[in-house]
Amino acid sequence: MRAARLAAALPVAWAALSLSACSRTVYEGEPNDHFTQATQLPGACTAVGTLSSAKDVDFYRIDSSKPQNLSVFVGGIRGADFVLSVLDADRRELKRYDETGTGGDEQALDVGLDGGAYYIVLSDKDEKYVNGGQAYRMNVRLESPEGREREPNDKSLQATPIKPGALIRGHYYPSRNLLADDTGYAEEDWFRLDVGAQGLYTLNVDASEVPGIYPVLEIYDANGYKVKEADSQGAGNPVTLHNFGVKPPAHYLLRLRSKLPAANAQVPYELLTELVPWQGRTEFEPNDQRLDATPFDQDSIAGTIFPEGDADWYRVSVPEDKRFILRAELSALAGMDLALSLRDDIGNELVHADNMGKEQPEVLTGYGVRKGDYYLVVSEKTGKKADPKATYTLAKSLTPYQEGLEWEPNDSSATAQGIKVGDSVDAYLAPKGDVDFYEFNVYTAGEIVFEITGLLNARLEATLYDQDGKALALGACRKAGDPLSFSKALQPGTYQVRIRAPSPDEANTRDKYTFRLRAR
Amino acid sequence: MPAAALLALALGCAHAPAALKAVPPPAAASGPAAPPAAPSAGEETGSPPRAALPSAPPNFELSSYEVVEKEESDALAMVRVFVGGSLAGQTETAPLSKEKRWTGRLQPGNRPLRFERWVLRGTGPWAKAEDDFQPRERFYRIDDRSLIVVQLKFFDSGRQYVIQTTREEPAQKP
Repeated sequence: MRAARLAAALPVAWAALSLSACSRTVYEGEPNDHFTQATQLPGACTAVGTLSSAKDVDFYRIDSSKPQNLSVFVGGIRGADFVLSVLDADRRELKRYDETGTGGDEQALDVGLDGGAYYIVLSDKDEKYVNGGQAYRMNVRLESPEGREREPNDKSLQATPIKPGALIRGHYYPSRNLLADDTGYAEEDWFRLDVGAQGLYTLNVDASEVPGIYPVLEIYDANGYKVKEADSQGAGNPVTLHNFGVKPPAHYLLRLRSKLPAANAQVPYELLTELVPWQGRTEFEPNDQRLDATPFDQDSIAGTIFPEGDADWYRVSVPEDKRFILRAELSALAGMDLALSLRDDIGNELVHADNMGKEQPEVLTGYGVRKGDYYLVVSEKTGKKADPKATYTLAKSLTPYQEGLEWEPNDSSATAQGIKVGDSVDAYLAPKGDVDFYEFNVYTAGEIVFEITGLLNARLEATLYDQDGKALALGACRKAGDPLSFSKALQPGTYQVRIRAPSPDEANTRDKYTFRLRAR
Repeated sequence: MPAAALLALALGCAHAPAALKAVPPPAAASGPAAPPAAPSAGEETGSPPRAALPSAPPNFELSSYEVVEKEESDALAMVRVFVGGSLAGQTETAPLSKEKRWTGRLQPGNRPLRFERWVLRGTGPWAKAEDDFQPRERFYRIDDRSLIVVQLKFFDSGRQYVIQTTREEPAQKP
């Protein structure tokens, strides 16, 4: 058994050795100061040479017959401050490395070669260099490009193509892009994702953690607009972006970089992309504004608050020209105080539900809606908390309106809900600060009795107004939970009753009160 | 019903002399009403003006219009006025977005008034808007000395409305 395992492992070990170790040693052939005099390398090997002076430059040529990745490591020698470059057949500099000072090693990683000639150029930039007697050793390695980033991929035009579901390894290396057009010299890795399939998908992207690196992941659309950014919130953290909505055919560009200038040549990052058919049960990022709202057709939907300040918009479409009561419930998230907002078709806020505190659910108890589009917006109250792994659930229900239910908005005398003498209404005193107005007509003079059942956590008070807005009577509970009842002799006319709690904090999203109006 | 009152209704009450608009409340309509008849050519082209009958000035005015999002949905419309459940009159017929008026003299007192929105779409009959979307009946204090002006504005394709009531003293009315 053990022998069988060993036999199975041998080809893998051989392959690893043939890739990592140089098969032969090549000695530079001076003069090789110009590309026309470049020392030919047979492929993966170790080149041994010397820099005779500070101005000496050694050119090596490598001929590639297929796509492969080139990595070069040159050990430091006394007095030399190496600069390592890779040039293409037209001597265009693809990448330049100068990570260390005098005496330090230099290396190039993941340089993508296609078919053709390439040049490796080693030079020194320490003008005081005089160490022609010490040889340097330069290890040249060639690997399959499958599953690897291909430098240079520092610009969108140079993005490495990736396929959803495939794992890509790369390095946050070098720390600076010395060939950058801007003065920031930001080293970044671009990847191109083409989605040609039909249907809607969500894209999940995960980049593993790398010691010392503070990764930031961005997604750009085909027009070059940044549509989403995920910040890892610290060095040594992974970066994650989930539920990014993709509508094929689509081309997206992923930009991965370190927020702070840093590099790690030893530990590669692993970039995993996953394309999942969208079933309408998760948010469809970006959904940070009304125009990008995720259609919310199912009973519930899941989402995350990420990055900081994230606001998730969901579109609720009411198809029929009837009256419905929209109710929504938002689950709690650890460490966060979530808020839920209902907005109309142009984004104006209709209700803001922020009844509960940190790590507690929010409820939008009911709002009257008719045919059209409405938006539910989930956000974190402080705008400073985010967690890509914590998922909230937003549930909604659309119930046909029927007599006896509250019809919000009824928060002002202008939007008072009609009620007939002899009828009753079941209603919520929520969200915080809610005020409910009811309007009724008295056609025959008589005594009208107002009855309101008790409500936990709230001391209800009711004020009766005549049609000119003059207060006629006031009734109030002594303590929370007590029912309220009073009567008043009224002449024919239109009247309004305002029900509220004396303190805006006295609200109840769980229980309803019943308001009944009858003639005695 | 007096002939003068019928004529006033047929002409569109807002354009008729005030005296002609003092109609006694007709019976409440039970079905779609026929569109108001268009004025005859003679009336439009200068038949001698009728002498205004000496009468008290109107004490109630309804003004109604609608916010219309698309020009093609700017159908003809009118608003009927009911007092205590009886039809008292109706505005002239005009596109939804145009202001339509009805003035009349109502019996003083605290009166329950209800306004009904009717729309004529395409070539179909006049259709009363759904009860769900009609303004609620409400009491208004009518008196002899002042003019109650009710402005009724519909929006959201007639699904919502706003009512604004003002009282104008005779001296303020030219």
